Amino acid sequence: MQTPRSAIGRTAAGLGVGAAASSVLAFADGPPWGIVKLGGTGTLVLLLLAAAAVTAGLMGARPLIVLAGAGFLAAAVLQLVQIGWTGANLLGGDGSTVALLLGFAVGLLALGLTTAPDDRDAPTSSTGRHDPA
Amino acid sequence: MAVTNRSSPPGPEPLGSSRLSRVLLAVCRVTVGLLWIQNLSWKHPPGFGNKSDPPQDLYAWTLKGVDNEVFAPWAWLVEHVIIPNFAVFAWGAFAIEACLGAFLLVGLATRLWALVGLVQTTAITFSVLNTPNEWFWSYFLMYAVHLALLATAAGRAYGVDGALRPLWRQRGGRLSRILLAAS
Repeated sequence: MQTPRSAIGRTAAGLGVGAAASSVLAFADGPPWGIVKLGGTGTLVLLLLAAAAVTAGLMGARPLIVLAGAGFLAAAVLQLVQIGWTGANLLGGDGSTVALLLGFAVGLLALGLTTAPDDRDAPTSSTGRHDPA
Repeated sequence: MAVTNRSSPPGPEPLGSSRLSRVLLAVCRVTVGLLWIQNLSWKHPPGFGNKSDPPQDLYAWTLKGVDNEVFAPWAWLVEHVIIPNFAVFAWGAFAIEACLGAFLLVGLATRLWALVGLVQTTAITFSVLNTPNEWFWSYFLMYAVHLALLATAAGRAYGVDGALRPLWRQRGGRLSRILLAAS
């Protein structure tokens, strides 16, 4: 039986894999295939944070999942501040970068900060198959 | 004595819940998230083209709601409220669309954000539906896909909602009830 803790870990690792995969969205220059803008530094930061999320998820370590989420949030805030006010652009991104990083941030933070009940009282799967409305 | 066999009429069949169905639903949700994310690329803070001549960026698209009126009250609102306070509304639109992309991408509070997506689609439609060379089906399709995400609670399929709903249900309390309703 899958416990909530394992579901959280798997989902966090999945978000990490998704973050790493999202780096390909920045390969093309502009739409339709260039969905997100990222420079070299931004891509490196994204991949490092993705690796942290995958590692934290596989370990099932909620504090590390929170840390990875905080990292994504810091990157999102940095990108927003730079494009909105300072004129610098360390990550080489734009508004799309802010949203992408924000997504992984809120997902990982929600997973890491939601306290799990005792595993003896654990319910079933995380995939929503029999989840009532 | 006759025995009447009263079998209950068949109820509606459940929506597809196979792994393939859930994967496809997750793909749909992520695609919609990426739609909102990508459309932030052409919105440039902090000015968003405010007072530019010729009009550029989000400012240009906002003016279309006045120049190519779709709904008279909306055109009035744009001309007399939004344009004079454009910076506030531009940052608001940026924040809403960033959150739309972010939350739909990872499938958190998906039903709530599907509703927000419907509202934002309405604002966009009222601005640009009658703009020359616009494909009106774009906006009808945006309505349709957000309705689908709302109806299917798409975040439960390979999304954060799916992982956290069991915990929210166990914890109880007002916040958990809100999160369950939003997901």
